[in-house]
Amino acid sequence: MLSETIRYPAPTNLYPSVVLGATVALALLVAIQNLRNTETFGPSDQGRTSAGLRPAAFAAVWLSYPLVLIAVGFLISTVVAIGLSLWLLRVKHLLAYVVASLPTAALLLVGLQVLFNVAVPQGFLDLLITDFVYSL
Amino acid sequence: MLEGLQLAFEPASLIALVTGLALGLVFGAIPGLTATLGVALLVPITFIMEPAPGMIMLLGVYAGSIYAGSITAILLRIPGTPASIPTMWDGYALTEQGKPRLALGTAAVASGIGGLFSGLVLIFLSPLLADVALKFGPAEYVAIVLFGLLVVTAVLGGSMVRSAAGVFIGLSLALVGLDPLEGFARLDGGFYELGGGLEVVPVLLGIFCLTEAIRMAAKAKDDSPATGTAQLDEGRRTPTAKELLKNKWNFARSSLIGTGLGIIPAVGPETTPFVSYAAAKRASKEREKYGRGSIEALISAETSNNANVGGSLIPLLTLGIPGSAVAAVFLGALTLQGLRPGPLLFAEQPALIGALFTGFLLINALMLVGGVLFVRQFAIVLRLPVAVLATLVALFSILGAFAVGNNVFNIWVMFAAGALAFVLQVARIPIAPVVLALILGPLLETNLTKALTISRGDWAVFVTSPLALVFLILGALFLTLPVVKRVVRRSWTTPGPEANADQDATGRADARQNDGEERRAPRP
Amino acid sequence: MSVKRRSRRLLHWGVLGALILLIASCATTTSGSSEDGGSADGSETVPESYPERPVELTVVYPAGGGMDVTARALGSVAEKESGDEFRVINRDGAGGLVGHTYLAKQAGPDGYELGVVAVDFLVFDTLLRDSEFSDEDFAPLAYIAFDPIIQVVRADSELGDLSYEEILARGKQNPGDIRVGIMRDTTFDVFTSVVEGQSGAEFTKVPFDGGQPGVTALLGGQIDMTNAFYAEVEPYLKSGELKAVAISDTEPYPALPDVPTATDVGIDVPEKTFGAGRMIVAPNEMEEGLQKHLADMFMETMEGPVAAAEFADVGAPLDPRGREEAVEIYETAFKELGDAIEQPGGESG
Repeated sequence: MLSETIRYPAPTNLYPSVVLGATVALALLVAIQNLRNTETFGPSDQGRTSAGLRPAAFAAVWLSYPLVLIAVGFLISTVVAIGLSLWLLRVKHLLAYVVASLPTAALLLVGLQVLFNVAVPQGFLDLLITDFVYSL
Repeated sequence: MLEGLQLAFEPASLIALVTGLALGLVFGAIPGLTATLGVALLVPITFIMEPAPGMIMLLGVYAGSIYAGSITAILLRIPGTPASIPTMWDGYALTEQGKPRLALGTAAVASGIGGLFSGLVLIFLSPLLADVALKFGPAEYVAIVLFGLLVVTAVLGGSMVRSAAGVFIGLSLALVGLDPLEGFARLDGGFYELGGGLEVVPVLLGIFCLTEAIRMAAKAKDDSPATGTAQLDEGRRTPTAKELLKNKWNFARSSLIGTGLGIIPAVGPETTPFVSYAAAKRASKEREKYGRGSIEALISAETSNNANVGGSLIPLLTLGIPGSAVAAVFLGALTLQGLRPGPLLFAEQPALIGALFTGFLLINALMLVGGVLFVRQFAIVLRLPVAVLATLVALFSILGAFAVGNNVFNIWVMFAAGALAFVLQVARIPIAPVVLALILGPLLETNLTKALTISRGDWAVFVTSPLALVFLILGALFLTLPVVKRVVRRSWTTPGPEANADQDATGRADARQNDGEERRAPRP
Repeated sequence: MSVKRRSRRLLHWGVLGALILLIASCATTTSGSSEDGGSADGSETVPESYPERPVELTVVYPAGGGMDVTARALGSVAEKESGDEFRVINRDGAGGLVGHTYLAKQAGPDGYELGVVAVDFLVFDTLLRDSEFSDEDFAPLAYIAFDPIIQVVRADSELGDLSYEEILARGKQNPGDIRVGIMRDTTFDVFTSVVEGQSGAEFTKVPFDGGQPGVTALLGGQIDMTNAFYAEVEPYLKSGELKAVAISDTEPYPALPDVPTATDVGIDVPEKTFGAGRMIVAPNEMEEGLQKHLADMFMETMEGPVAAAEFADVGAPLDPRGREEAVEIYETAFKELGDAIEQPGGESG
């Protein structure tokens, strides 16, 4: 059969197995080294956790943003995410929220959609804005 | 050639040049928008333009975005392209020391000089060097990839085991996707979105941008702006003439390395600054300053990555071989203008080639002058409150990842890469080898198979090819020289202050922790 | 002090505003709209508003290859004729399997993601390789042209002085000595196997990711012969660096009347089968109305006055056929090539 005659006797699995094997071996080595030097390794991590709550919340906001983005569209999700993010980082000025959220989101929407042809998920408000821009 | 000179100085060409450069700066500076995307977006616009201004504009975008990737690397510790990673090491260190102006100015000068050098090589030696480019076959690629990976391991100077672990983690990540020969799904966990392999841009965004956003979030106290603000209006913004003169060999070496590696098709611009950085470090008398804001190091990285642009144009124009993703898009644009890059282009279109070359020199000159003049405007981003900056960087990381193929899946890839970066940091495995190996991995695997097919399974092919052998030996030297030196020194002298200075990044990282410094990413 | 601080704070927001304005101005300039255009009354029907953004033409091979050039020429002509925007996207990898899989599984049926594919390559992907799609996943819209395979050698090499028969004879005498560039499990691969089977020659087949990389390797002397399409080798044929030795069809190639066809050298091949039957395809789930609209638009484009000149300019053949014929060619290709592979000793038939 032709389909058989054009097969090649190539050692297809050699390269991946070598790479993966070496990765596992080296990772183990590093892990052992790290465990040996726990003194320099441990304390710095403790210092990290006490201050780590805010960054964690910040990461959580942005981690959930794509999910909300798919559900309700670009504009609403982006405004909410920016607002939450700034609030978490204790920005006090009202002006910051006003400038950074709605206009940024709206301009990003237009820029991405029209200029960069990035098809962001659109909700009702988004469609209204993009339709308006395309009608210009 | 004279006709080309005229063509390049026509108002339409000059306007196109400035526009292209400005757009390139915007694309390079915004995370997630790459040089490739910038050039691709402008291709349709060049249809309505004359060939010369159109192509000059695309060149401007290409060169500008490579340079702008270094601006964000210096100011925010976010490399716009993988080629800006070595720039980030010393550039950001300078920013932290309150010298963002000097870092930006030096980068502009170095970029301009590297670009101009490669432009001159392009003009005078193109046909000659085209033949060199063709000498690189599968066996040579394998050697050069191995060379690149050995160099990045050597340049970090830390624990060899940790760097090697980084390299192999990157190579493992590069395995994801369809097997390049048979097309079998491999390590994709059932996600067919991974068929084409991991997209590099989302991975980079996750590793550099997302982690930086979170780090900024941890720093944000109130409405205070980012570091370095106070110094924005003070201090010099160019290296002194003395410093420049002191670096004359550094400039020459870095320009040569950048142009040389640019000429080799398919290697891409990523490896270049690592090699140049490593070479500069080997030759340097102040090796301990590398990674801590060394002007010399910054010059070596920046000179080479812009010299690479001109080098990569040589195989593109003379042979029609694109050396990188950007070059491929550029090739498409030329073809559609009815210009077929290849052996006949120079003979058939001397005016256009002349205009392109002149335009390329002008772009680099403008970048040098403009980069120094507008240092303040670039650095303005540091005046934004950290909280706002963190928010914007996080937002752009996500949208940038999505923009690659309009795909929500890539956002998750981005987050996963961010998590990986965190794990690696905790495990104290350097990130640069991971990134480089991820980019070079597919090149290594496919060329390994090709080389062995051509040689009918004979592994000697990597030694019998002189070029391959040279690269392998060079790589081995980079890797072993410091070890050999240390061993020799240890056996002849008792450990003194010298030996301490030579200690690896681990020791340095520990010192940093003792200072209460949060940043622990291993640096060279 | 406080005045200074306030002014600095003001500056922060000014900067932010400026950044946003910059992005905004970029957006409006490239969309080509005038500020005071007012809102034109956009019609509400679906076909009227289509397309709202550029239509992507996916090419499954790297930029600069024969498929790429064809797609780019098609896109630019279609742009001029229809006024809509087209954008060529290269989704290459695994010898085309990555892009084909994308088109079959991921491309949306909303008319914004079309493929410019070679039907033969698609056939071999479904029949010979571990693909996750079948012929059912694609709907042919229009046929562009048939482009035969051209086998080329370096003019200054030993093979450069030989005729194709002599090359085959050498391949028979010294099995495996001649290294030939192919793309694995594609029409390049199968045609080379057919030649080997019928002539008794034996080559060492070196796999590449496209025609262009093979040509590069040939120029560099890493291989001795390669399979390619005309657009990929035209500049080198004209400059005399490469020499075409065979055409994979029954009739001579118009631009190369002196190069022997497979039939001329005694290799029995079906007519217009080994090569690239280039066509425009859509995801199968696309609505019938939209399919028809696009098919008509492309047909009009390719039969228009601009197309012939533009295709000739980039060295891509053009022989447009409408949707019905395209579907027929598509189905025949799957059937005939399928038979050729399934039947034992397919090489000799």
